[in-house]
Amino acid sequence: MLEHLLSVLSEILSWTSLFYLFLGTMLGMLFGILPGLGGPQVMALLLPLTFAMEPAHAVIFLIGAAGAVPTGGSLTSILMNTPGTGQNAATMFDGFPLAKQGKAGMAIGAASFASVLGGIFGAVILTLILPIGKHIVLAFSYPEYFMMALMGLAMIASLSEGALWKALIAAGLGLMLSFFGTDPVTGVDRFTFGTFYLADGVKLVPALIGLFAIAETVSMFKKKGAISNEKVNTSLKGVLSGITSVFKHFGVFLKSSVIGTLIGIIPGVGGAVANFLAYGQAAATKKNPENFGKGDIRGVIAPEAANNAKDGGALVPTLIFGIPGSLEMAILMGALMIHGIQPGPRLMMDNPDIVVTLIYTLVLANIIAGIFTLLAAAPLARLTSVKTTYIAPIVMMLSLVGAYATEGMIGDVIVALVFGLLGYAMQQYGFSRVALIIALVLGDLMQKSFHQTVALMGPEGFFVRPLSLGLFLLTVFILLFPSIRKAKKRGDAHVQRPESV
Amino acid sequence: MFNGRNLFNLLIALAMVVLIAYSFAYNATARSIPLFVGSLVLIMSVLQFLVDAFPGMANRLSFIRQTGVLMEDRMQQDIESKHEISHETQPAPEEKKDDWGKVFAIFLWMSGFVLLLAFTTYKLAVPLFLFLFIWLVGKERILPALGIAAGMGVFMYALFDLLLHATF
Repeated sequence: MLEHLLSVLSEILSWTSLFYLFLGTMLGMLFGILPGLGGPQVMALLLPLTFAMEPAHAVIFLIGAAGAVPTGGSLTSILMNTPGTGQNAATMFDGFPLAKQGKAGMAIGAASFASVLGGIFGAVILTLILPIGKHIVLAFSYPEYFMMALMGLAMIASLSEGALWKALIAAGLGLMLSFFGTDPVTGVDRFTFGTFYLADGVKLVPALIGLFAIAETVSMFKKKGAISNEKVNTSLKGVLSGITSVFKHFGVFLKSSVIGTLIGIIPGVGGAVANFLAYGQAAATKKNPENFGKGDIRGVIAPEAANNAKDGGALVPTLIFGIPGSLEMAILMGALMIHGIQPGPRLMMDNPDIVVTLIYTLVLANIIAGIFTLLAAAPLARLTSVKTTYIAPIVMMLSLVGAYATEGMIGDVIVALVFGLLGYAMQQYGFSRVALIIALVLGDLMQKSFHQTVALMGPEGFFVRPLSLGLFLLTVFILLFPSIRKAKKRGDAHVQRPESV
Repeated sequence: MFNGRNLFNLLIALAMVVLIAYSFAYNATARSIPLFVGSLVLIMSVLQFLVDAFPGMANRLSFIRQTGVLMEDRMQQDIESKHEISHETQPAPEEKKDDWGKVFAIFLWMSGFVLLLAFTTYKLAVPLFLFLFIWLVGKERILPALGIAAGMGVFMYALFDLLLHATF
C-alpha cells in the first residue's frame, strides 16, 4: 500500500481533484456551521452528485466534506453559543465565554489549529495501523465477521446517548429492513410485498437522506426564527495566540487526539462522544480546573482535537473489516459500492490506491478547512442569523432531488420520505437512528457470514474458534457493562454513606 | 395512555408481527434469521410500550430505562446545567396534536414536490416548490421567497445541467 503514496499524491494534486477537494471542504464547512446539519447530512446529499464522477474524485469530494464538518461547527459554538454539530457541543463551554471576553480570535485560532493537527494525528495513526490490518484480516473468517458485526451493533447500542433498550430495538429494526429483497443465501425474494422495486432491498442512499437530512430539516423548520439570536463578535485579534496555545498545551492536545482516535475506531460511536470525553479529561486536570467553563483555552483545544482525530480512527474498522466506524463511514461505504469498489477486508489488497487517497484527502481537508475557518469566520458565522424558514426548505429540496437523481426512480423518493417520517419519530421518541442505519449496513454481512459458518462448520463454529469466542464474550460484556457499572456505583454510594454522616 | 410515543412503540410491534407473518411463507433457511430477529424486536417493543404506557411497570422492568455507558452523571449535569442540548434520554414533552399535524402537512408538501418532479422537470419543480413553500407554509414575504426560488433554480441548473450533465 505504501508504494502507492507518490502516485496517489500526484493524482490528488491535479486540478480536478483539488477542485473537488476544495468544493467538498467548503460544503462540509457550510453544513458544519448550520446547526442541525452535519457530516451525515452533507454526505447523504452529496452522494448522488458523485455518480458521474471517477471513484477517486467521489472519495475526495465526500471525505473532503466529512473532514471539514467539525471545523465548521466549532465556529458557531464559539461565536454563537450554538453547536454547529453534536460533535462541537463541548466546545461551547469555554469557546463562547472566550468570545464574550473579546477573545473570539484566540478561540477560533486554537480550535482551527487543534482541528488541523487532530485530523493529521488521526490520519497518521490510521496509516500506521493499516499495514498490520492485512494480517488481522487473514486471521478472520466467517464466524469472526459475524461476531465482529454483532459486537459493532452491541457497542453502538451500549454507547448510545439514549436508552440502551431503545437503541437495541432500533438496531433490530435496521436488521429487519436489511432482510428486504433477494436473500443472498437462498435467492428467495423476501418482504417485497409484490413490488419489483423492493427486490433490490432497501437502498442505503434514500434511507440515509430520509433518516438524517429530511428528519432534521423538518425539526428545524418547525422551530422557526433564526438559528441563533446571539450577537456575533467578529473581531479576530489574537488568532496567532490561539494557534500558539495549542503548542503551549500540547499534552492536552495529544491526550485528546488519542481519545478521539480510539473513539473513532469503535464502530458506530460518533464525534459527540469524543468531544465530551476529551473535554471531560481535560477538565479533570489538577492545574486550575476551576477555570473550565469560564473561558479556559484548554476547553477549546481538547474537544476540537478529538472530534477531528476521530475521522482517522473511524476509517480503521471501515477499511480493515468493512464495518463502518461512524455514520459518515457508512455513507462512504455506500459510495464505494456505487462506484464498483467493494469495501471490506479485500479493499486494501484490491484497491490500495483508494485507501491512500482516503488518508491524504482527510489530511488535506482538515488543513484547507482550518485555513478557511480563519479567513472566513466572520461572514460564515452570519449564516446562523438566517431564518430556518429559508434554510430548511432549501435542504429539503436538495434532499428530495438528491434521492430522485440517484437512479431517477420515484421509489427512491418514497423511501426517503418514509424514512424521513420514521427518522423524525425516532428523534422525538428517543430511538437511535445511528443504530438503525449501521444495522442496515451490516445486515447483509451478518446474514451471509452466519449461514456460511453454519454450512461449513455447524453452529458450534462460532464458539470453537478462539477469536470468534472472544468476540462473543466481549459482546456479552459490552451489553452488560452499563448495568454492572450502575450496580457498582450504587454499591460504592452505599458504602460511602455511613462515613459522611 | 395513547400518546405519540406509545403509538410509535405499537407501530414497531405491529410491523414486526406483519414481517414475522410474511416470513412463514419462505423456506426454513430464508426465514430463520428474520424470524428470530423479528420475534426479539416484537418482544422488546411490547415491553417498551408497557413501560411507557404504564409507568408503574417501569420499576419492575427498570433495565429498560438503562442508559448508554457514556451518558455519565457528570456529562448529564453539564448538559442540563449549562446548555439546553436536546438528546434522546430526555423524555419528549407531551407533544401537542397540532405538532404532528404540522409535520404531516410538511410531508404532504414534500410529496407534492416529488409528484411535480416526476411529471415535469426539476427546472419547474424546484423554484415553484421553494416559492410556494416559503411563502405559504413558512409565512414569509413574497420577495424573499421569490429570490430564494430563483436563486436555487439557477444553482440547480448550473449544477445538474452544466456541471454534471444530468437531466431529469
